[in-house]
Amino acid sequence: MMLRLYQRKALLAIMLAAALGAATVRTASAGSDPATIKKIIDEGRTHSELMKNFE
Amino acid sequence: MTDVIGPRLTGSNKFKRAAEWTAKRMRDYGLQNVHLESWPFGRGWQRGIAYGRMTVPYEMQLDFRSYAWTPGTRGKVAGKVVVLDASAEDDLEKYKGKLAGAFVIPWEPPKAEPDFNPQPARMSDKEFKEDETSVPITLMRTSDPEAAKRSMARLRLLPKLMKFAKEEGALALITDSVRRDGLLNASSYALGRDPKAPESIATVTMAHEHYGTLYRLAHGGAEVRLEMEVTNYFEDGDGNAANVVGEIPGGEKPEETVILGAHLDSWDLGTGATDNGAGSMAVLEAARILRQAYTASGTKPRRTIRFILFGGEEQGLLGSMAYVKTHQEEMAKVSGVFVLDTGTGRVRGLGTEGNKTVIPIFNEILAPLRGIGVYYVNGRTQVGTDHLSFKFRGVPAFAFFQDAIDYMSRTHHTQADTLDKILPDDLEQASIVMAVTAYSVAELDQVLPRKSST
Repeated sequence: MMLRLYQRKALLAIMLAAALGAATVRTASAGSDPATIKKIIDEGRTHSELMKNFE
Repeated sequence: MTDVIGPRLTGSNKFKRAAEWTAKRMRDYGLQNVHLESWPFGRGWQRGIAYGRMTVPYEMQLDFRSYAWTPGTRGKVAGKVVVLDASAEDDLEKYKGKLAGAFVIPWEPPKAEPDFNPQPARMSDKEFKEDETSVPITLMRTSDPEAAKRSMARLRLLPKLMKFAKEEGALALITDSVRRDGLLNASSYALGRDPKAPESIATVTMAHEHYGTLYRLAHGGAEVRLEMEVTNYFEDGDGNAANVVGEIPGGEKPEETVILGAHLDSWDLGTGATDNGAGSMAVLEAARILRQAYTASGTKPRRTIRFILFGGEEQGLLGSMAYVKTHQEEMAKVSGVFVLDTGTGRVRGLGTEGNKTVIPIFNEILAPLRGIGVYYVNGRTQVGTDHLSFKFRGVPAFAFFQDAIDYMSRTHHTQADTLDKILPDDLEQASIVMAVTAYSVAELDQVLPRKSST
C-alpha cells in the first residue's frame, strides 16, 4: 500500500520517537547493577529492622 | 516510634522527640549530614480529656474528640443543643443572639453510605489499569462527587462558624465525624497554631451515630441537653517544627540528588501508624538497606541519596514546602523525589504524574521488582502528599501506589490508626522498592527528564 506524503512523515516521526524512546531506556539503565539490586532485595528481606523501629 | 513516642502532631513535644529519635537512627545507620531543618510553624498543642453525655431526654455517653489546636471548655459545662441550617456564611446571621450557652450542631449529618466492598482491599488490576487519570477508588473515601463538594463547602465554612459561635457565647461546636462505626476523624484546620490568633471555641468531632441521634432529636423539636468537659493544652516553645534530613553522599555527582521522603507528623487520635509512621519507617529502612549495600560493596552511589522525613504534611504540606523554599537553588539538580504515604499496603506501581518521558525509564527500573509485586507504571497522579511541593517547582516527583488495605476506610486520621494495623511483610516490600528505586535513579546517566521537556 502506497503511503501519502503526510502519512510517510507521520510514520517517520513515529519511528524516530520509538528510536529516541529506546535510547532513553538504554541511557536509563546505565550504571545500575543487577547483582547490587539483588543484594538490596536480599538485605531488605533477611535483616529488616523496620518493625523494631516502628514499635 | 508509634507505641513508645506516640502520635506526632506537628510542633508538639512528641513530634520533636520523634524527630530527634529518627535523626539518631539515621546516624546509627551511618548516614551523613544528618540534621534537623527547622521552619516556622506556631504553637504546639496537646489534647487532654474529652468527656460528655446527653442528659435530656435520656442519658447517653457521647463519643467525641477535640479538633486539634482548639481550646477546652474551662471546666464542665452544660446546656441545650441548638441545630443550625448553615451551608454558607450568610446563613449565620439569622442565629444572632440565639447561641449563648448552647452546644451548636451546624448541619444535617450526611447519610452514611453502606459499605458493599469487603475491607481491607488490595488494588485490583482493573482498578489500576482502568482509568489512568483518576485516583484508585480504594484510595477515595467517597465516590459521590456531590457529597465531596458538600463536605468541602462545610470545611470552608467551619472557621467562620467557629468565630461566630465564639462571639455569640456558645459553649462548644459539635461536628459530625462522617465516618462509620464510631470512627472519629481528626482532619481539621490548625487555626489556633498562630500564637497571635484570638482564642477559638471548643470544637469537637463526634461519632456519626451520636451526632445523628442528637441532630434528629433536636431538629425534631425535642429539648436536648448535654454535659461536656474538654481540657487541651498549648505548648509554647520556640514556634518551630522541623524536617529530618540525612544522606548517603554521591561519589561522582554529589551535588545531584535523589530524594526518598515521607511525613513524620501525624494526627493524634491514634498513634499515626499508617499515616504516616509507615512511610517514615519505610524510608528509614530503605536508608539502612542502602547504607548496608554500599558498605558491603565498598562503593558509593553515583548521586547523593537523601532521606527526608517531613513535618507539617497534615496541615498542608508545610514541611516539604519549607524544604523546597530553603533549597530552591538546588531544585534543578534534584533528579527525582519518591514519597510513600498511603498506609501499610505493598507498593503496586508508580504513577508518573503525567510525565510520559519517564515511563520507559521506570518500567526498566521497576522490572526487577515484579517478583515482589510491583507491576504498574502509568501516567497516574497521586494527590495530597509531599511530592506535590516538588512537582509544583518542576521537579520530577512521585508517590508510590500502594494497596489501600483499610487506609481510607478505617485508619486514615482516625483513632484506629495504631501499630496493630501494620502489615510487616507489605511494608518491608515497600522499603525494598524505595531502596531499589533510589539506587537505580541515582545511577542513571542523567537526571530524570522534566515534565516540560515532554
